[in-house]
Amino acid sequence: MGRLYLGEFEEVVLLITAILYEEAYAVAIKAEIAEQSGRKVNISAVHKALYRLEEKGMLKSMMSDPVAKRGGKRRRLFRITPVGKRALDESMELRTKLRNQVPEQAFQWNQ
Amino acid sequence: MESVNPSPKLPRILFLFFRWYCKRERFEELHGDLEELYIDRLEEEGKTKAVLHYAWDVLRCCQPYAWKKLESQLNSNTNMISNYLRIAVRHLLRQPGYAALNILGLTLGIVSSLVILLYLNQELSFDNYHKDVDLLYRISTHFEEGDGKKDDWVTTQMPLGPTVKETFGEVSQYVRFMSQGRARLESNNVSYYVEDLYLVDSTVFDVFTFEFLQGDPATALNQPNSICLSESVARRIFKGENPLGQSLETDNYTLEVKGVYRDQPRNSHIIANALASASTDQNRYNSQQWGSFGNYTYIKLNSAADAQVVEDKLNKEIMDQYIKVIFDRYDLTVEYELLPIRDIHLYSEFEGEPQPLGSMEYIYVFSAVAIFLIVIACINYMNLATARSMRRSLEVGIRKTMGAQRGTLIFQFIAESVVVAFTSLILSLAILMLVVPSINTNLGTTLDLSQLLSSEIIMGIVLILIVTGILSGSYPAFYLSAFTPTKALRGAGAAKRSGNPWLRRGLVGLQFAISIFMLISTFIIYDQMQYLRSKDLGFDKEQVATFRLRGSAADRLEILRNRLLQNPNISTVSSATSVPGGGYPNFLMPIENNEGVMEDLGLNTVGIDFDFFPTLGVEIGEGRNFSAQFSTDTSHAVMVNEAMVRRLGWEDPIGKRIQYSRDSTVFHKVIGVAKDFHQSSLHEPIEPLLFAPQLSNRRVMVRLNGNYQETMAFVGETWEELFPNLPFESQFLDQNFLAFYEEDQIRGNLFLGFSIMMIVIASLGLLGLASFTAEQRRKEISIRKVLGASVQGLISLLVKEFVFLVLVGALPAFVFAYLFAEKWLQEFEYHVSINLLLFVLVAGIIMMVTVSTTGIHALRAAQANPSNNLKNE
Repeated sequence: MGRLYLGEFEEVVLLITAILYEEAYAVAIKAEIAEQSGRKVNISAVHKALYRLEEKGMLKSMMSDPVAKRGGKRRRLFRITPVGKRALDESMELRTKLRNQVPEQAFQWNQ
Repeated sequence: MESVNPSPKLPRILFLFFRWYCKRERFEELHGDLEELYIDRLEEEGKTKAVLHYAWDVLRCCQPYAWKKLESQLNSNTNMISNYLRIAVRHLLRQPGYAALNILGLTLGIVSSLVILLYLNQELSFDNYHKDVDLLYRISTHFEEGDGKKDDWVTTQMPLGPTVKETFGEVSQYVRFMSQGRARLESNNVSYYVEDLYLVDSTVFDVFTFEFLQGDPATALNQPNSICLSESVARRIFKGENPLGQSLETDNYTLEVKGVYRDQPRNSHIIANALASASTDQNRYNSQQWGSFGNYTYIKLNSAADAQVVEDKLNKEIMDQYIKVIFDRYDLTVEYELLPIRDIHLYSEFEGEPQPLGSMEYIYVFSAVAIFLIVIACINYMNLATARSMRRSLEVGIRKTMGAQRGTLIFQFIAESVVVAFTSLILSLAILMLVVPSINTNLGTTLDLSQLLSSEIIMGIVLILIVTGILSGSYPAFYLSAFTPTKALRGAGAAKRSGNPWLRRGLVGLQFAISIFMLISTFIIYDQMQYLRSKDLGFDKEQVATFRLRGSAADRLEILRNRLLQNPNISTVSSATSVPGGGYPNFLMPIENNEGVMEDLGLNTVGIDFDFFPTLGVEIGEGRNFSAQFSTDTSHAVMVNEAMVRRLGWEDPIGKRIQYSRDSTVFHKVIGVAKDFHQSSLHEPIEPLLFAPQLSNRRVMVRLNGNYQETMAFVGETWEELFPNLPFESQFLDQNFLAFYEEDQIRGNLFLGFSIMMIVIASLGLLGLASFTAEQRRKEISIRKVLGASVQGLISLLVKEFVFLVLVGALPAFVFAYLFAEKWLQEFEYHVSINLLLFVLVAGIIMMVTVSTTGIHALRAAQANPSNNLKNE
């Protein structure tokens, strides 16, 4: 299998989903993103990313029990899959690898 | 699923929209998310923001991942519909000028109607936001004196509220409001003025709905010397600091801030910028005075109670036990009325309302105006569409030959008008967003755009869409679809090719009639407003500045007066208990009637000093003014106005006697009669007034001569020296009076705006129609010209039809405008008489607009070179 492509926002969503573990559904993910990164996103952006990640096989999902707060509607809970983990690892690895190759001089601006 | 809460109350239309586009498999999880967010925001940000956020989310979620599969919807019907829409758009684009005229006209019509809709929605929604609003009532009072003089007051007595709650099981709660008017609040030695401070019972938050931002409504006003501030006042005084627990000084008390509530919505009949606990003023709080009417009393009924029963009981039991004993001997009858608080704004006829009122009549008038505007815009559409029908006849013929049914053709043409209406609607909404803020600043209205999401307004918008789209589309649709294919293809049935001209003329005539009616009404309203501003009020309201002495400042009145009089540009300084434009108390006093008998009557009383009449420039009719030369004046004299002389039927007013109370041994004698002057707005008649001499009062008036700006600066400086801690605030008397007509002025402005709008829309229609007629008769004109007709002759040929229609439309317009004006002017006690010259003037204006719009096209047609038009024959 070739490289797994992961967009920047998708990566954040994937990570947060993994962090929230059993509590990962759209509203909680949106709140966690705001909490962790200070980034305010619309719920529809989260939806879109979640469904795409599921299509790519990086997430799997199941429905929760009915929740009173949402008028007895169920939540769709997401879970990271081995494919998702591999994508995260690859992305992280690539970044570390690239970052380490930057020569120190590139970060000297004083001259 | 037993423990499941019902779905929160979300705007139904948005919910339905979401359900419509969302695929069923995902509906549960997606809408669940939105509901959850909504509930969180409801707590954090309040209802309005949460709803707006929800609307935004619904729109944002409308993306491919949520959509239903398109395949399931695609069938031949949608194909046909999309074909109709495409044809409709092509037709519009092929004749861009005509489409622009149509869309512009409709857009102007819809924008104006939506503005009216917003205004009406605001007027009709007064006080609706209170919880259990149907159980809330205000008790007000009717009085009738022995001589038949009637008064209706919003106020009641202090003991009424508690007694009613104790006595009647139907009443679950009460609250009393005591107005403190404009109050001074001092924090850290800086004074702020706050409009409308009320002393209220701690129960106020059980009865009315206030949204608390800080503090606890259940306990906030339980202690004396507590105050709750509106958010804007709290921010003004404390800037960023936490207001809770801070202390505020008023002229009389030291108060502690116990709560901050969100500013009340504008659609409230009573608006309090600050609420202090009534128990702060222990004397009044515990008062058992059933004879003095000075506070508002509101009650909340149990849900099972019948208001009529409670009102009857009030007028029986309370009246018998507490009130008759006081007033029977004065031959004064008192009657309570329970008014539902949501009816106060539109239906109250009581004096002393805390905020300006609206009236049902204006609701009807403005609804009619909105309908007029839409009708005029629709007429434009119908006329232009049928007039241009010739161009479509070929298409209709071919469609029919190819097998199109009449029904589908009708549908097609209606689809076209719906496209036009929908485009206009979208444009209108965009324009509305842009213009509402400037309408608010320029016309003085307080329209609120967030109301656009309310269900009433959305219903209105849908209604407008249906009326303009379907109704105005239906006539052209039926007309066009009725062409027989052979005629249509042969050359469009030459005789009937442009629709029934009489119907079109009728519609144009109707447009003229409506425009003329509106313009006349507007002019009459303006005439009256002008009259209100310029009418001689019986005193000289220009160049009189007035201000108030608060707290201990009143002790230094004499020093202030002497300092001010040193300036040569200040001719007189006077103090009184109230100034023209303000209210005055009413006391029961024995007064001598024409037969020499002492009779108890309710008298409006003003305390004044010797300079009151000279300062106002009021003349003394009979007798003389109070004077320092008569030592007995301050103790034994009074004055009255002419209205009082009329009320009592006095033949010789001088020397008539008055006692300040039954028990008093002092008889005050009338020494002079002041000429009538307007103490209040011209909506009201001149009230009988009693003037009592009183040398030191809190309302000060200063008459200025010469350059008033310099003189006012001098007054301000003098004030600064004497009262360094008090901010100087003054008003001119004419400002006081203009405030009375603010609502009239706003309505006048709205009316003017709408009638200009109407004329613009109607002229747009005329422009289109005239260009069409000119084009249609191009060949006729060319032939006439070749045969020797003059340009003027040709113009009059084309224009005279419209001129005729203006004249025909003017007749019914004159009649209705006259009737309307007569009815409207009766609302004012003093009003202009209807000027018939105005009618002629308006007809002339409309005539000129008509001749110039149609004349341009006529001129162009008449000047064209005949050979260009005839070369094809």
